[in-house]
Amino acid sequence: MNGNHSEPPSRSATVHRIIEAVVTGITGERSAPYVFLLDEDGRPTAWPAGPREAMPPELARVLQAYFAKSAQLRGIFTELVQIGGMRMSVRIIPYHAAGANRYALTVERFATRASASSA
Amino acid sequence: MWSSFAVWLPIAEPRWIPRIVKPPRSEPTGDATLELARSREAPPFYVVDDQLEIVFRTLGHEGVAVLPEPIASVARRLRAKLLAEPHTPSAVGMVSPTEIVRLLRLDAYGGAYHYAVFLERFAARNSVDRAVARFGLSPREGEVLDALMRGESTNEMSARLGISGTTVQEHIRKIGRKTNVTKRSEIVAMVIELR
Repeated sequence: MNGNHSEPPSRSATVHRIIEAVVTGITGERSAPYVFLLDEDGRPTAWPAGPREAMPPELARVLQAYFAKSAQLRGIFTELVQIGGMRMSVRIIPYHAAGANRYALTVERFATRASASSA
Repeated sequence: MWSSFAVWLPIAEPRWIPRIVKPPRSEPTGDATLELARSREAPPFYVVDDQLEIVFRTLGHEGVAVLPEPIASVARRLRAKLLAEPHTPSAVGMVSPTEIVRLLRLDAYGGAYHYAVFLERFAARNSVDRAVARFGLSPREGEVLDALMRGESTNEMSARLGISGTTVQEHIRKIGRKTNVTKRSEIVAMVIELR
């Protein structure tokens, strides 16, 4: 029952490109978390590209408290931190690399459904 | 330690540290909100080095040693784009209309680059269901729309659904009439934006 209709490849490719432009355009407007990699003392080994500024004290306090614990007690950590009037979700995820403890830190805006719709 | 850490915060646009303090909104606060934040899964992502070899992966992906295809091929294309545009920190590419790869460039010591690779999904199935309900699409039209959202061509839909290519096109025309748009890309965009 399958038809033998064939579509010129160029048209299909064009449709694909248009869909990609639409989809990636919408996605590109969404915010993404900021990602850091930290060493076992909480020092960054990789950080978001671009110019940098001082760490907000609210976030520094959270990291300081986390890394004050012994390495054995450092698990996955999530905290909401108020920074500049915005609630940010801060996550720390431990992992092992080359036999050492390493950590990924993500910081992103936290929005509930209600706050997202009223934004 | 903190004095050395303190210089490494980004001020990329858009600034993630807001300069304008917005007035407080009435939204949940306290322990319940923190529980909500903790219950939300972190978006799955990898951190890869400049050769796209995995340095870090989110929990649940421990068995993944290399970026799976076709994510890897999209990531290679995006890496080339970012290398060609040194002032652009991120790029987005499509694996399928429901699967998106976002590559964020990370700086590391020695001028090296790492990349955070985020896998993002549109809730396309929900969007299709909403479109079916809102525009009164038939079950078959819903199936064709779902296939359209996954980027299938007429031939692929024809083979998978067991109908002729002409019938597939007729379903797409009917979907277009009911949704008041004509092009496939417009249909996809409309369904993605449907709330």
